[in-house]
Parts: sequence; C-alpha cells; structure tokens
Amino acid sequence: MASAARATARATLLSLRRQIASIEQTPPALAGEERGWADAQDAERAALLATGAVDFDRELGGGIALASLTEIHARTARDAGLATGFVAALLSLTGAPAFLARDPVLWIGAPGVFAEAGAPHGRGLAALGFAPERLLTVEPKRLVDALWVAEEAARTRGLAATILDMRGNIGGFGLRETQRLNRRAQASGRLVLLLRQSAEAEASAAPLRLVVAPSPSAPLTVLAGTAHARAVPGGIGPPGFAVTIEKNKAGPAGRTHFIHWNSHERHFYTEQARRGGTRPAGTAADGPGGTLVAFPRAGSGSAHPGAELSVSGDRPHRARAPRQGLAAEEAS
Amino acid sequence: MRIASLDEAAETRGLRRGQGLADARAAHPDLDIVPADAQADRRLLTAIADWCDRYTPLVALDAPDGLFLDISGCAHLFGGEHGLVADLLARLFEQGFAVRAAVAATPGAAWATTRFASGTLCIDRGAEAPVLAPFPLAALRLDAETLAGLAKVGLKTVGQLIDAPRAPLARRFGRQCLLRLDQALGAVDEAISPRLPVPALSVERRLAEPVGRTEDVEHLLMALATGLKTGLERSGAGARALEYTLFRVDGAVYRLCVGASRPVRDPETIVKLFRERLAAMGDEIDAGYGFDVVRLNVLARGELAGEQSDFARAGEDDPDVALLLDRIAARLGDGAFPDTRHPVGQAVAVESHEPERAETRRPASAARFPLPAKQNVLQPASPRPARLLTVPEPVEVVAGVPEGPPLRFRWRRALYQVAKAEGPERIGGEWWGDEAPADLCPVPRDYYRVEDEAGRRYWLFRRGLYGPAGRGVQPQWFMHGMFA
Repeated sequence: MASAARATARATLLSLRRQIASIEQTPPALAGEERGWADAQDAERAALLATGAVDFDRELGGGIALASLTEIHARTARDAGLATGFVAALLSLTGAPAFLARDPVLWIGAPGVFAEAGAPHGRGLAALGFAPERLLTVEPKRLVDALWVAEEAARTRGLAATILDMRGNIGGFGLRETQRLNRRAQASGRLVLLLRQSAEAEASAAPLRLVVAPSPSAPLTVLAGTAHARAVPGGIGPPGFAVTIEKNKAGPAGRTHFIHWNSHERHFYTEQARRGGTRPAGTAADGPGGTLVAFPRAGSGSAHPGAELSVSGDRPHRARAPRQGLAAEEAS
Repeated sequence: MRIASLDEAAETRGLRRGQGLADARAAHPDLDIVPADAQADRRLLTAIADWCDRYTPLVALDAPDGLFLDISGCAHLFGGEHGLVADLLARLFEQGFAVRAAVAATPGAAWATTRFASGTLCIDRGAEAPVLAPFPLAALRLDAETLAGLAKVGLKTVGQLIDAPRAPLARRFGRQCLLRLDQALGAVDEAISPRLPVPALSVERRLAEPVGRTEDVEHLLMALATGLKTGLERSGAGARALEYTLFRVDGAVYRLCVGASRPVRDPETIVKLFRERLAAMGDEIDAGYGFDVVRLNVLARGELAGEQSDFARAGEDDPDVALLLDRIAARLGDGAFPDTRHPVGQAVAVESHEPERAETRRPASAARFPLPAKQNVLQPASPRPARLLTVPEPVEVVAGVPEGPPLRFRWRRALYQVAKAEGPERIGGEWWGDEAPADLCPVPRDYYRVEDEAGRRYWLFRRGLYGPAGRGVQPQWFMHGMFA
C-alpha cells in the first residue's frame, strides 16, 4: 500500500515536472536531469499525456502514452460527438508538451464517416479549448487511401496528432494495420488516435483502448468560487464522459471513470475531486483568483513527497487539482 | 442524312461530301456507313494533338480536322523542317492516319498549302505569294458568304485577290477578307493559341529503346528532375506545379500533374510527389509497348531563394507538413492543375451566424505552418456542437408547451428522453446576403441544446414559428449536431 502510494506520488511528481517544463517551453528531459540530445528524443517518446483526472491517470500509468496508437471507441454513432469532444479535449490539455497545443492536427475521415455522424465542427471544438485553425480534415474516397494518409501522417513530426475516424468493423482494417500505425507512432513520438464508432473490439496492436460513453453533464454554476455559487436549474455545465479503460498494457483495465472537462483550465477532473474541493464553501473564497472549480488550500491530510513541490504561481489550481483528487480518494 | 466525310475508296467511286445517303446507297449498296460523331472526332483530334507535343509544346487545335504546330526553334532537333515533317508524316501514317502537312512562316499560308498544294511543301518566309496565287479563295479561311460574294464579282483565285485594288474590296466585303489575305502573306501577324499552358521550363529525354517498368519511369524522372534543378537554380525559382508527360510508342500520351504548396527544386522531393501520383493512377497507366519520350514540364514557378539551413529547428514553414500535404494532394487529388481543390481542408470561420455557413474548409495548400502561437482560444458566445451534421435530420418531438423545449424526441428510430434543455437561441436567415431569398423573410430557427437521460448532448432546432391561432402552421424539428 505504502509502496503503491509512493509510486503514485512519484508519477504525480514526474507529471508536475513535465507540466512545468512545458510551461517554460524546455524539453522535459533537459528540465529533469542533465542529459544529451539523444536522451531528449527518447524522453519525448516516453512522454505521457496526463489528463488531470488522477484516478484515471494512475490506472494508465501516468497518462496516455504519446508515442503509441490509442484507440478511442464510441459504442454507437450517436456517441460520436462525445468521442470527438474527448479527443479535442485531449489535444488541448494544459501541461501537455508544447507541440501538442501548437501544431496542426490531421483528422482523417474514413469513407462515409462524416456523412453518418457529421464532420468535426471548428466552433464546437473551440468551445472545448481546441483552436479550430489547427484542424485539417481529409476524407479520402477509399479506405486504402485513408490508411495511407494515416500512416504518412503518423510519421510526420510536424503534426501534433493524427486522428483516423472510422465507423464499424471494416474488412480492410485489422491487426496488421494497427501494428503499422503503432510502429509509426512509436517512431515519431506523435499522438495517433484511432476513433471508432459502433465497432466491436477486435485484435489490435494499440496498447490502450478507451470506450467513451455518455455521462450527465455537471451542473452549470454561476458565481463559482464564491460563497454565492449556485447551480442554474436545467443548465448544462461542463460535459461529462464515462470513460472505460477496456484494454491497458500499463495497468489495470475494466474500470469506468466518470470525468468532466474543464474547458477554461483545460483539464479533466472527477466529480469526487470537485466535491472534495467545494464542500468547505467558506475556505474556497480565499483561494487566489476564483474560478469555476475551486479547491481549498492544501496541507490538511496529504503527506506525499509531491506536496513539498513549489509550483509557479500563475496556475495554482491546475497544479493543486491532482493532489486534491488524491486526498479525496484516500478520504473516501 | 448526308455524307459528312468519306475515305479514298469511296471518293474513287465518285461519291462526295454532302451527297444524300439514300442516293449513295442506291448507287453503291456495299457502302460501310458509320454515323458521324463530332465528339469522338474531337477526342481523336485532341489525342493526336497530345501526341504532337513530342515535337513542340505549342500545339493548337484547328477543329474539326486540323492542328497548328508552332515549330519555331524546334525543327533543328529533328533534322530541320523537312526532317520534322517527314518524321511526323511517317509516324502518323504508321498509326493509320491519312495526313497532309506543310511548313510556312504564317499559319494562314500553312493552312492553305496543306489543303490545296499537291505535295508536302516547306515555304520560306516571303515566298508565300507565288505559292498561294493559284489556290482557290477557299484557301483563305473565309466564311461562305464572303466567298460567294467574291465569286460573283469574278474573283476565283488568291492571286486575283492579291492583284485586286484593296480599298473597294474592303468596302464591299468587309475587313475580314483582306485580313485573312494579309495574315496568309505575313503582312499581319497571327498568333495561334496553344491548347495547353506553355511550360516555364521543360526537360525531356528521347529513348532509343522504349521503357515500360515503373522503376524505369521513376528513374527517368529522377534524371529529368536533376536536369531541371540547374535551370530552376539559375532563375532563382522553384516549381509550384509540375507535369510529367509520358509518350507511348503507339501514340497514347499520359500527363501526370502534381502541385507543391511551396516551390520545390530538390529532385528527390519531386520524385516523391510523382510517386504518389503514379501510385494513385495505378492501372490507368498502361505502358503497353513502352514509352519512348518522357518530358518534365514546370507549369508554374515560385520564387525560391537559396536557403541556408539553420543548425537548430528554424524556418518559417515546416517542411514535414508541407510535403505531407503535397503528397496527399498528389495521391488523392484529381490530377488537375493544383491549388484549386486540395483534398485536405483547413477549418476557417466565416462571418455568418447560419450554422451551415459559419465554417468552410479552405484548401490546406493555402495554409502556412506552424501556426502562430496562441495562448487562448476564443470560445464561441453560444454553444456549438462538436460534430455538425451536414444536412439537418428531421426528428419527431414532443414538447411540453408549443414554443417550449423538447421533452422527448425520436431520431434515427430511437427515442430519447430529455433531462436538461437550454435555449432557445433564435437564428434568423441572412436577408442581407447575396443569396437572400426573394421574400426577404427567411424562416427563423430556434435552437435548443438538450441532454438526454444517458448524458448525450444534442443540438436540436425548430424551424418556423407557430402561426396565429387557427392558421394551423406546424413548425418542424431537426437534429443538427452532437455536443461533447
């Protein structure tokens, strides 16, 4: 138990270091230790994308691995909007490596996908924090062309991410194709996402498969962060996602995480962490710079090595959120 | 039905153009009759024009049955004008065409000589008049009315027209008559309009032994691109659009076009782009007996300063992405002149509040990467879905009150219970726009953002307004998108 906690704390520490490094725009490896160029490349390949939802990140072993293929499934076509939003959220996370928030994203629609479930809409993605001018879409007429574009894009380091949007289980796509995509993602160190709607799970080389399902949105609050915070009746607040880790090489699989997206601070959070933060309403007010989700000052229950870390003052909530999540997890 | 065209065998039997088909059949029951097909004739002429590109890039169509070739500066490559004409006639004869040709300093003289001289002639500059003089006036490309008029006053040959006083002719028959004469004699310049854009630069190779394998075609391309590099470097330019032309021995011509979003000069990059195009063409290219002439044309150029690469990552454009986009265009594009329809689109916001028009896809070739760094993303003032359906889909809705948000709705045969609803956001039509409807009162839409019991969020709208009581207007509901 103690060793597990220490491992988690270490992961948290690493992810915090990475966040600071990306804020200061230096390669993470150079920020961590004195290392050479080759090691910096290796470190980039080993980079993880921490989502901010602590439980979820912990089960993934620190976050979603950048240099590998990740499958994101939506069980039905009507969940395509959710999956799209989840992807857009992943691509606009704060604390991610700088290229992920800066470089263009190639969204490849397999034949018929955009007609069935609609095309990604720039303004809708902007609502989640994703800059729409980064979005490049292409819809080849044949699946082989879509796969060719995906493979070529996956090895292009100038792209932040390659998203292959597919529908159903198609004949020309199987284990071998995922292996090829995964190999290219490993080589380039860029995010390659396989977004599949209404498809059955099949043999795949992707180390991680997430299933995005609907989850009610958080209440829409006004005057959040103050003593007068209250929910708007019937209002639709931060979107909710029920994300099931269906396959996970880096840790346990099978659990469903109910997470919400904070589009202002651009990170995921769990309802648990939020409740842990808002319960003492009086203390929330004295946190610096009230925002939608407020957390009390730290130092009550958690005694991780990570707690002693000093972080830059401009993003206090972002840095504190994971620790609060941990504290809430242990308290429950 | 009349005879539109006939071959030599039929001519020897005394048939002629314009004769009634029934008459001809009655006289010669064994005639082979094929319906005239102007389209097919045109295609054939175009194919021959393509083939003639092997002699000069300046080929103009002279429908229905002629071609103009501007061979200025090309003839010496084929052993002079006589050599070129002999080569052209021999090759076309081998392909089964009956061809006549003539070389002259003016298009008009060449046209006349081809059609009315007894043999193949090469006329020197200034020597047109004596050659043309015995030809009938039809050799001057005049319209039928002018020809009839000239015949009435007794002018029958070109020579008579040359000798006739100019002023009365111009007064009586218009300027066209003298213009054609002057053009034929070289007193007035006449330009032919080439069928294809004239390449800025061109490199070609003629092969003694035709090649057919894809590897050889690529290898030749590499050699051509290397040859092109020096030419481009000299002019400080790079190619924005390239055309690789393959001439098959039996006359078929294949043209492969690729575009580059940034000027390219590097032979390897050029070969990479064409490799995708070749792969995309696949079986469409049939090497047959092989290609004997290959040519690489630069259709469009762009300035490309000699660059010095930085040690660290630098430069304004990211070559990775630019090259990727060009290769995608080469593979997925239709092979037409580039930049018009790039298969990859970049989302661009448009100043419009109609959701269908609020965003367009701009060809990615116009985009420049990396994008300027941006800290904050401007969030839309009102909710917009993550995925927008291209066409709104009708849904059946049960609402609590007529103008209220939906309670239940049925979309794609599934029933949904609404748990939360936000709205309405009324979006009216853009009556000030160019495509404003005639009545200037487009139907407004009331948009609702709803969440069903499971937690999926949708964008529904009600089109139209409830009319006054008794009018019986029933607004319709549509699904327009899905939120995250």
